[in-house]
Amino acid sequence: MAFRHLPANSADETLAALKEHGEDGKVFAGGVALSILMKSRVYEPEVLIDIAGAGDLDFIEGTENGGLRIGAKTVHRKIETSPLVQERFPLLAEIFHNVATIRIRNQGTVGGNLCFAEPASDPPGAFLALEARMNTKKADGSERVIPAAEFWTGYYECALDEDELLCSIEVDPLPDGFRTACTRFTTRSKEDKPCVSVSTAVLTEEDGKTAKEVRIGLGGVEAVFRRLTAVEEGLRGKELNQENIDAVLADTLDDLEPLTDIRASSDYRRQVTPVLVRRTVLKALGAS
Amino acid sequence: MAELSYIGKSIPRVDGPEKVTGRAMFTLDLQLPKMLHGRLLGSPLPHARIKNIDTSRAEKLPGVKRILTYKDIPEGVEWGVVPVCYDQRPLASDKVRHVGDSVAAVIATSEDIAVEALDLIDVDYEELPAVFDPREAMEEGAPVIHDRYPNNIAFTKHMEFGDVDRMFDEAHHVSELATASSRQMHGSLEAHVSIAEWSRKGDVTVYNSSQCPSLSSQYFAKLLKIPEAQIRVITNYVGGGFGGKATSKFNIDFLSIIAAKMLDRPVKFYYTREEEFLLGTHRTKQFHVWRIATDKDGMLLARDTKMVVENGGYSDYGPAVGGITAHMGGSIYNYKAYRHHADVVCTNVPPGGAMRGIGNAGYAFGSELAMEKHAEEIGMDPAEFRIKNFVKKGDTTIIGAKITSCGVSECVEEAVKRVPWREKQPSSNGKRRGYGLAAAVHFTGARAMGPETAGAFIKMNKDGTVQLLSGTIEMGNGSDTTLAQICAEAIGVRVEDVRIINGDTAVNPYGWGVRGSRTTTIDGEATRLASVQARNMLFKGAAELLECDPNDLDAREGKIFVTSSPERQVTHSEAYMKIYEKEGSEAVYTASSYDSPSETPDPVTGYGNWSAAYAYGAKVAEVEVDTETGAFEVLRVISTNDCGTIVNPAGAQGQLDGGAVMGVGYAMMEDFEVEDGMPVNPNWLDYKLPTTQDLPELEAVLIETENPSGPFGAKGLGEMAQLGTSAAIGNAIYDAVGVRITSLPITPEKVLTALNEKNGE
Ligand SMILES: Cc1cc2nc3c(=O)[nH]c(=O)nc-3n(C[C@H](O)[C@H](O)[C@H](O)COP(=O)(O)OP(=O)(O)OC[C@H]3O[C@@H](n4cnc5c(N)ncnc54)[C@H](O)[C@@H]3O)c2cc1C
Repeated sequence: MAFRHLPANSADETLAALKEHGEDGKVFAGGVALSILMKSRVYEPEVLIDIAGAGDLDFIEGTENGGLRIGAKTVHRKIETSPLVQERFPLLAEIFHNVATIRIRNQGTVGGNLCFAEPASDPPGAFLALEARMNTKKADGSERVIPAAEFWTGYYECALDEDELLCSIEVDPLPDGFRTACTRFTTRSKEDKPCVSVSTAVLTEEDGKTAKEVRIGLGGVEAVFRRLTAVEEGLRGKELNQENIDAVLADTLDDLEPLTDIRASSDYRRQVTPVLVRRTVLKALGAS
Repeated sequence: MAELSYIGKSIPRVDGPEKVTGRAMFTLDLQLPKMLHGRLLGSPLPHARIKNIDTSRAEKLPGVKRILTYKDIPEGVEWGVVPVCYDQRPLASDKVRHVGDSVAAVIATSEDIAVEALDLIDVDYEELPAVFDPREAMEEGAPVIHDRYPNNIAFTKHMEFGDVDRMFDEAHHVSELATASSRQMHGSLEAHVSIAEWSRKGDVTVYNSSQCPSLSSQYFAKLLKIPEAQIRVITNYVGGGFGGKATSKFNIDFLSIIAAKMLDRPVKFYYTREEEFLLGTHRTKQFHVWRIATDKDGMLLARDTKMVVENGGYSDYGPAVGGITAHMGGSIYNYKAYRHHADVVCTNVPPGGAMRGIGNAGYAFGSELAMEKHAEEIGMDPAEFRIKNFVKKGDTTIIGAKITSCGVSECVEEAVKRVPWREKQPSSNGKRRGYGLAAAVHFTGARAMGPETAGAFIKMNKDGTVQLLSGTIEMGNGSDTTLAQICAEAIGVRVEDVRIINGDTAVNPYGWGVRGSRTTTIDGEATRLASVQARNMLFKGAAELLECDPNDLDAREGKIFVTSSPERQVTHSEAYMKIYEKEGSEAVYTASSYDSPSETPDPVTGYGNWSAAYAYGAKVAEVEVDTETGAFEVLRVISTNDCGTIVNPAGAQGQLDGGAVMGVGYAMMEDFEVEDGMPVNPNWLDYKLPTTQDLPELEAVLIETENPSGPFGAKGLGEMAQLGTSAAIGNAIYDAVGVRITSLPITPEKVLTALNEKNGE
């Protein structure tokens, strides 16, 4: 296994390296995902562009409107333990707390998690529910803002071009009254990757029960992360109780295309996904 | 028993400080000067004929020193565990029989070069039809894996006593259940490793990670035709064995010995983690059908067990599983008639092997589910049903086991007492609680492959300290500590004055190594015997100094004293010097050789007292099942164990806790999956072991009995510790939600599917 290790100490250096090495170059962030692929010789990149030293991609900052901007190279653990994240987006603090073990969270980066686009992941669902935006840059200097809903395009595929770098993720504050919750469901060890991962943000009428807006981000189940828009639409205006939610789910989830993998069969995922979505919506309703 | 200084005390692990500070030496850590590195080329196909192996491209890679194929392996290097099934070889010759089966070995100056060279070896395979399910492999017309095994049946164990059919005819109630177990990995941190180095004299030293160095040396001598005096096997601490390094993983040993001789340089081979899955064996998978017959009072009349054991591509401990289970089944409950039929069948999957509670863990899962079902059908409390039928001290069981100590009823009583046994639990939030029980037995060394011998050498030093050279090794089980305790107690020295030297066949006595729950008991008894001899020698010197009869002396914690007036005392050093300084002096070196009082079973019927002592235990599990998803949590596991006199309570508790954890993993998640011969999860990312997040509350209760043949009354424990956990969890799920999951692992999906079926969906 021979490869070149190329340290890149800033976003610009990374982009220059991407330009120079074209499809031979690969961004190496925490390396958690990549090194497993390389060790098992599934994937053998020629040049590893190591962004460990790219300080300008490693930050968590509040935006003026009360939102958050997170550098792509920020490790899970840093997000999970950030007082700013905990205060502004408890959902994000919780979702990153849920990922794997502290060892992995100290090494894996948010950018690596999102760009790797492994179906059995937790954070993408939360970023979907929060309607995050991905700020990217290309080697030619051009920049893009990709909405979360358009970021994941396939099985282990995201919308980035080969020479494109995810620089930061930005979330606007949720409008007043939104409540959030997530559920991470595993079938084997609790440290396993998720079989089903649901994130929700729920806004009700003044009565505290009737749904005004419900956002549901789903991970672990299908090849591509997505919002369950049909469910969200179905719930609008309904009183959020078990019976109503189950009725809506029964009508609106038939387009689910669950995967079969070592954690569960497609059939099992089809059965438990509605249960877990309902529980997560009700959990959000009960949240302060 | 008189009060003891060390037996029964939680003496801290003698290997503890070294291990927790990272200083302990494991063979995998070892690098020798000028050492070369070996790597294996594994088969990508489950079953194929090898038409040609072309190594020419690989040989040209700079740094490659040699490539071995079957042509380099001397005739007759074939081994196994059960002698009629010696079918393992270091490298495949005619055929490959499972994915990962070793075809060639590269020896190079670095590991990276060796790995690179693997890609340059061209093997021409002719793919053959393959078979993956042992039940299908037994059928007429299935592809034959070894010509020597018709119908792919490598081994059959049939044991039958009493008139089984008549008992079933006359029974008041008969129940039947089919169950299946899974492939659990040992998960040892240290991989299998072997480093060989030849001296100029022509002797070979092998550093390996064997649980049984003596057996290694014996095999190397026999198969490579080297006088055993010229072989030295050195095993450092073993970084986890659990049976995976028991006695049979010799592939890389032979390769390193052969290659080191050819190249006149030390050669190191070790298994990668993936090879641990493909070559390192796993807990052998079993399929069972249980039939149980009782009379009108719920007394067991007969049991009829039919088992199919998945052997895999080669015979490791698979054939032994067929027999061990027959003995274990006949050593816990009393029957009037008993039949056990096990076929051990080859398939094109990686070979199964021995793992903590060999054969018995998968067997106990099924048999204790079957007992539970039977109890329910006859309307009896399952605890009562078991207690009514357990063997008792003094019994000779239907298979010939002589029960000389037995606390199994107390184990069950103690375990169920701690939970609201048989009380229906209210459901809350769609979640239901349940409690399940299982009981189990395991041997303390089994006379399966010859005498259960152990030896010990004691070397007293003039300063009163002791070196104990034992025939076993420390693999994390804690035996260095228990042996030091036994030695210190028996000689009457301080435990800190005992040093254990083990793991070197040129220095240590012959021993069967660490396996079969034997070490503290059988190596312990050998240690005790050699220690008593040393003490008696010292008592002669002490008696002269104290002017008394040696029979009036006792010794404890570094002092030899007159029993009736303990203030009259000398040290061991003073006693030693007294006999040493005399003319015709005696040096205090002693040796023992011990064979435990067990019998070789009758070769035809299998009848006999196979083990010197039987350890018993019970598990009670508390679970909570989510009825909407089938997910469940194991909230509590209570382990009660009768393992004789407890030599070291902290060590025993560690074994019981560790065993319960391994049992939880076996019950809930661990399964090395192979689909159409292809390994699905040969790594720690996809194969899941329980972690601290998954652990229930663990309770361990030690119920002491006295094993008359064990040192200070001890008997086996290490394997017993995990037995029954999976059945207790399975039975608890049944108690909670009324579905019986009959195959391991018990997954949320299986539970939900069963719940749906029960509810008529
Ligand atoms: C044992 C284990 C358990 C896990 N459990 C979970 C879990 O429970 N939930 C969960 O969600 N995840 C889980 N994961 C996945 C883990 O979160 C991701 O593997 C990790 O976040 C990847 O981050 P990384 O920085 O190491 O990525 P790397 O391995 O460095 O990179 C991954 C991919 O992303 C690309 N990339 C990285 N950064 C950028 C960037 N800024 N711009 C463009 N491309 C980029 C790389 O080129 C590569 O293709 C687990 C992983 C392991 C090993």
